[in-house]
Amino acid sequence: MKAIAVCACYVKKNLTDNFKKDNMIQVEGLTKRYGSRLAIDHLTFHADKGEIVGFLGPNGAGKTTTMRILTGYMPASEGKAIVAGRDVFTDSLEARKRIGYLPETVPLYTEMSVWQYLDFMGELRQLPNRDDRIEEVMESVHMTDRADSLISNLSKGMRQRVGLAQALLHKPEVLILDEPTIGLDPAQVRDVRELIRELGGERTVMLSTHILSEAQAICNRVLIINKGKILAEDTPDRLRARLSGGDRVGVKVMGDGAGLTEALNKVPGVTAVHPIKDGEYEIDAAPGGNIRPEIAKAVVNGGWNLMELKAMGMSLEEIYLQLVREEAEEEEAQNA
Amino acid sequence: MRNTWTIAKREFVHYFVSPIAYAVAVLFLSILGLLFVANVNNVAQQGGSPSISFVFGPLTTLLLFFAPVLTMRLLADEQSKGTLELLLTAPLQEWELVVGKWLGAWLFGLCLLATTTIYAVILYAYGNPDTGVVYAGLLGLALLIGAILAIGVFASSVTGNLIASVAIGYAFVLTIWIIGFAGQVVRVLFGGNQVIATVTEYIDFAGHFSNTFNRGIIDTTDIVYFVSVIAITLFLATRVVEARRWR
Repeated sequence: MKAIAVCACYVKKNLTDNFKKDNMIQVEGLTKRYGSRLAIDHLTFHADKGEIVGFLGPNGAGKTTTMRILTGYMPASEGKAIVAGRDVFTDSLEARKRIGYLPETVPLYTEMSVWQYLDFMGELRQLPNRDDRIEEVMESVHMTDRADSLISNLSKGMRQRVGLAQALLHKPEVLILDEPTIGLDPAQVRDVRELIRELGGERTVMLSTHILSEAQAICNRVLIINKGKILAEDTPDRLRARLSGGDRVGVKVMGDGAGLTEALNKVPGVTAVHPIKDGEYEIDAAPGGNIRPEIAKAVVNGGWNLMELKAMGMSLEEIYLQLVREEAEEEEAQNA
Repeated sequence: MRNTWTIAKREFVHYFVSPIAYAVAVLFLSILGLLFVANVNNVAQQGGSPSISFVFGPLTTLLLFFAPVLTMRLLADEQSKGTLELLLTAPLQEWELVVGKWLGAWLFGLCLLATTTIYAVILYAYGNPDTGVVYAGLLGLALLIGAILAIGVFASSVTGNLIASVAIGYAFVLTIWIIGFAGQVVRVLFGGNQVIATVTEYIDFAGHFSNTFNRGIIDTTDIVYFVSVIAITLFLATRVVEARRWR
């Protein structure tokens, strides 16, 4: 409950920040209905210039719908979306010129070669110096040696890169990537993430994922979305700090550590001690102060042999599960 | 306009790498060749003078079968493969996309038509054909091909399924092809000047070619007719693509 209150406060604060000039993506009250079903429900968020924003949520949370609205593929039922200073509903063509988009399905013309495909997309984008630019982009996605390969002969990872190259062609101010690493092998995932990280800084990147570690690894900011609503919004680190409500410290001593629980409980600032197994403990502490030196002293002075002492943040995964669970519980309570 | 040309170019080039287009071209040209030889032989034996309309007449019938096959994938394929999402999120307007698709198909159709000029050359070499029929026929066919392909583009816009696209294309083309007979039936049954007969005969596709262009007559009514068919069907196809966004 406390966690929800904290993040609700934070979301509210962000609303007022929303009207900053350098926002590359600004979304207010965005709603999409399919018949009577609400796919997204009054979403409000923003992305600053150079930021990499992660859209994190389970399948069917409304990520793809939101991205399709931002890219002008489908209209919203309600609300406003401004990308790179252009309204995507009233000034769609201009907005689309400033957006690079990689749809989840990575649509490609499989009968074309990589070069032909990029040449076609570049012509549609009316690129000046098309050949040079295509070469540049192919280099940045490490595809230079596959220029003449037919797309139908490429692996999933290669196709993903072609899709990414297409999104980058016209040097868009905003990149929208729907599940950019889905279906790739671990090495390819690392490559794509590396590429996205390189892109952030000069361009605004918005990507969706349902893989938590991915959001944690590449995003400056994470929006957690479920059933069309934003549950939380912050940097991965701060989300962790806010939602765990304090610090957690792991301790490992030699032997079974008999009597250690009592000794640790006496340390000022400790709120709870959880024995994990023989000689291993996790300690919850009040937020703010650094409690590790005190714990180390208590352990050593009590005659135990300290093997390990580490700060443990709550992982994004735990936060995410907690948020989704809390929301489900809240709903149940309301229905009861 | 530039985008229209970009799309048209891609579609035109695609026909030359597509097995379906080659199959259509081979059948089309061989059937036309056989009919030419048979017709010319017939007329020559009866002592008549062979005309290019011997080629152009059956050509219109062949188009009835081949046009929906040539256009079936134009928009249906984009929908089923998801590439429509790519095009509609590029700075491209719906009408540019639809007109580009049609233009690409029409250019390919004109290439097929251009091959029939060989028959004109043969006739000039061995006989004395009516030059007016050659020019009027080519103009009429260019328009007729444009109209029939535009109907195909519309059929392709309403579905993401290739087979459904061909079936819908046939349904429309056949209807517009035989609707003149309906008019004749009405005349026979109810006699005289029935409005319905006049209307259906005006809508009738083949009549606008076989009664005029193929006899060497260039009538603005027919030009207006074919241009209208192209404009209306492409407009409808554009609306269908636009409507897709709102679903």
